Amino acid sequence: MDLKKFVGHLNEERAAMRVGKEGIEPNGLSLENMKGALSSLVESIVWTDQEGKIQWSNDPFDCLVEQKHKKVLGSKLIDLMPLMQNGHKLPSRLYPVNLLLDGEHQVRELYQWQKPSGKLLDLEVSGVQMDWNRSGKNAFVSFHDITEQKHTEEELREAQLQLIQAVKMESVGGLAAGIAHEVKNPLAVLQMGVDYLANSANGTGEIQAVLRDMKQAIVRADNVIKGLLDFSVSRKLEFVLSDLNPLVNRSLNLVKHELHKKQMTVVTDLAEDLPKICVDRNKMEQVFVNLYMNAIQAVLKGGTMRVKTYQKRLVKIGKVVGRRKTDIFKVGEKVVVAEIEDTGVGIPEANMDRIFDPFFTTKPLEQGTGLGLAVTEKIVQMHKASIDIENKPEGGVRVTLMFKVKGENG
Amino acid sequence: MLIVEDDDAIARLLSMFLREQKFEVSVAQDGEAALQEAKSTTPDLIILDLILPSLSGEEICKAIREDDDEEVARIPIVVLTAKSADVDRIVCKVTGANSYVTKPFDRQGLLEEIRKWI
Repeated sequence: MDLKKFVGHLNEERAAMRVGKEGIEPNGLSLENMKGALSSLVESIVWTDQEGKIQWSNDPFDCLVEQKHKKVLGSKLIDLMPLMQNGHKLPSRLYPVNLLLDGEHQVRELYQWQKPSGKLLDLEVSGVQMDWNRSGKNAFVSFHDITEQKHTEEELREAQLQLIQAVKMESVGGLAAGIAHEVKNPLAVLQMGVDYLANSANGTGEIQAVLRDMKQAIVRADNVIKGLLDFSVSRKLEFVLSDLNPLVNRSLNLVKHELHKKQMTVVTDLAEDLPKICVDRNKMEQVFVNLYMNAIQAVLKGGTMRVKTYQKRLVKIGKVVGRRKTDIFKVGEKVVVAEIEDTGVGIPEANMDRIFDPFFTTKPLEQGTGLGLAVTEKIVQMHKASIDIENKPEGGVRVTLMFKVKGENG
Repeated sequence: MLIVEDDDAIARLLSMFLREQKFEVSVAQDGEAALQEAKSTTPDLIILDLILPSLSGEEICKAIREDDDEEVARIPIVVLTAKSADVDRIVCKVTGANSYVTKPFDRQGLLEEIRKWI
């Protein structure tokens, strides 16, 4: 709304009133009507004298400041509405009303203000200064609540970012899936061809041996493709509020056979009443299975794997714990922890830097593609969790996973 | 049976292998042809590659399952997939395919799946 125009009208009306008889309504407008109209506006409006004391306010303003009209009249505007900008209290001279009374003709700015009832609002404040004869400078200030609007804008921006991210992932996922398809088809042809030859070749030991090698090569290539597809995580993660312990046990169940083959013992120490965490169950099971398999493959025979879960409050600043926005965890935050320990050969210090690199592996050919930890790290990152791998002083490796607790810190 | 596969080499090898096993085989290379063939000849089984030009395997599956002709709607479908097993398990449930075989597959595996349905 154009304040100046309105005030101009008011001015004219007042002048007309002074001239005419009481009750005369030139143009069908009277001050009473005007006041009524101004009070029905959604915008909160006040009119102050040259000391910033409120001479008049409309109903919406009284509602906004949550005061009775009688109390509003005569109060200083800046007392009723202490403003903030960017989280800081506004210095007195920078208040719109004071800027106006100090000489500015017009102001229009965004501020924050906390209602007496506590709610924080984003307000667009605009005002004009009028210099009426005999009464000195007067300020007309209006307040427009744009809190909802701002929230919607922020949500929209967030949605846009998510959309961009999804499109990016889709194209990466799409690319990987396309490549996978283009490679898997030839692999299928090779596989069928080898099968056919194996069935019809006149069984000389050498030919069969060659065919066996070819078959194995096909399986290896196929594993790499599988790993690649996982790595691009072309499927969206589905986060569900879950308990960690059942997940730990389900994953353990999946590697039962392997544990048995290696004659390994498993010791679990799972805390009760752990707070729930937000995870994609399938992907997190994949993570645990990967870590268990690493532990299992670290020993030749026998040995123990220890799995421990507990909760704790972070007190020390560390690799992922700090006070900065970019740290995953903040000091003082409550987290759920899972530790997987083995009594295997440990990781040579020289390799420590590379264990998460794609295709880095110390396992023999048939056992690993080197993608396990790379995929695991990716999944952990997407959960906004952390993974840490270190050698234990007494030998073997400890893997520590830390998860945010839902609801604790938003 | 009907093989729906756009890759020539796979279609050829697959047909050869299945004919050896005494199956009667016809091949369609895209979705439209597949649906036409399915409706006109009602094969005993359809082997369907999920990734095809134009109509996707999933869409073809759905189209067959929703066909007015009961005979057509009930044709067993084995899908050939290139993605990972768990994704495809879900796809099967959603589209109504009867089972899946992941590429690259071996003959025995495919035969076993086929034998389940005919």
